[in-house]
Amino acid sequence: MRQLYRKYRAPAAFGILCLATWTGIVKILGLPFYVLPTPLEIILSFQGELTGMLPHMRATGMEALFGWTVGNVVGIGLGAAMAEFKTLRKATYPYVIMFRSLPIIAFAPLLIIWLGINVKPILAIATITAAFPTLVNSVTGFASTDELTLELMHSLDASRWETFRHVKIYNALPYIFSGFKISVAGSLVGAVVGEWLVADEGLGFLIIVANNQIAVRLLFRALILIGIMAALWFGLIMYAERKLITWGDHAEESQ
Amino acid sequence: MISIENVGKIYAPDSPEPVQALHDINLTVDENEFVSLIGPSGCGKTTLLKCIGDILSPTAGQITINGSSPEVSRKDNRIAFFFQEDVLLPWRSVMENVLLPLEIQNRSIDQDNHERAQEVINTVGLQGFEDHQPAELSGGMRERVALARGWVYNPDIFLMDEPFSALDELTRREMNRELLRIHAEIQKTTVFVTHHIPEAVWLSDKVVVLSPRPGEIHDILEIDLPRPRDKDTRLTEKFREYDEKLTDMVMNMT
Repeated sequence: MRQLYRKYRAPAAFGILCLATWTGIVKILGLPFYVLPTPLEIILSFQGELTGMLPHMRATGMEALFGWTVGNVVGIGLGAAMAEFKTLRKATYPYVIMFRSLPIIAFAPLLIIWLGINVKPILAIATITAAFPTLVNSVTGFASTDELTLELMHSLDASRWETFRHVKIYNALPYIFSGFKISVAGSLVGAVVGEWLVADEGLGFLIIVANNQIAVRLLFRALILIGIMAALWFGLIMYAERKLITWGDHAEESQ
Repeated sequence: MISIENVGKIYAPDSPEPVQALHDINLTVDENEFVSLIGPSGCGKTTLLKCIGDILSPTAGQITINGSSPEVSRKDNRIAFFFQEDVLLPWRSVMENVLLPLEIQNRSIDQDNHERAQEVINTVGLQGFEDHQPAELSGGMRERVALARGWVYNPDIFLMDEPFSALDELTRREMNRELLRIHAEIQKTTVFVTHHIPEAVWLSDKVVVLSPRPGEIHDILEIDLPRPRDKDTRLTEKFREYDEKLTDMVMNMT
């Protein structure tokens, strides 16, 4: 209990300070709630509205989860292939880096033209935004295996697959988890932006509706639900990482 | 027996500045003999060891191990190579690390493999630590795991590339004593690279001094100290003479 208190007192105090400052500014400047509501007003506005928002939360969550899952499977697969086959890596890696630096979101209108006005372009955007961080991270993870360990596997006459299975996968795991975490935000951004453009449900859709109606409290409520989803998701990955990577070799966050 | 005839190694032979790492090396290591390679940095001792172990290929000459090429010997699991670091896989327990070579060679692990691994772990003095992770062990204990891993598949020869260089002096002594004991017990032909002269004298039947640029054999010194050797061996006049003679040799080279 005492440890818990020590660990969380600083961030809790800072959080309370921020909320208080926010409230203070609203009160002092006398801002109306349709410009900037106080945090308390936002929380209270959930009253009677939450149930109606849950289907939207579910829609956005499913889109992001789809994008995250497919994006990570593709990212890890391509990452492993690129790390394992040098020629492939040399030929493609510069383009991967180039693409990653582009705002993928800008391709959304193109995807809508190709895939139609439905959920497909949203899923595609969420997938692409999730795939890149994991792709880049897993290339690094698979390719950064220690030279001496590779010489050891060679001296034991291990096949390429055995070296991959016994060594490289484990070496890449911390990097892959780092990619998993980064792509939570990626897939949620992809889903929300996709919804701005084509959806008739989802938290991104609600944000657009709120924007049109200047419903600032609704806008904040949608943001809070997105934040809660991201935090839970992130926490779950961190938990899995701690359970799975027991050898104390957590990769540095690369972004 | 290892026989090395006219072996040379040139790095980057096609580049404008090829590096002659080894030149005309001739050396024989007899059955069960313990031979150390010493010399200043850049003398090619690690290169020579890696050529014997088929991690590198020589560009001239020939190496045979009990009549076979290094490649055939490596593929037949006749060689155990020990590296400058312990190179344990941190995600595997002590037991799992020791089982790794058997897992690769047999494609699967059975009861016999477990018994064999346990026997080797006991011999290096790690009974009770089978389920520990490498991160929980001291440097000396990790090195013992590496020894067990190399020995578990019963190779004909040990190739050791400064295996104790990452250890502090006291732990190095302890591992030297351990290696003397294990070598006396299991009798493996061993080639041992080190820059630590007392270590070379204590362990070896023969010390090969290499000189740098290009790596050539400068001298070979037979170490005529009776076995079994122990810490008293280090106090003898003869030990000191060998130590000084080799130190002079290496120092005068640079």
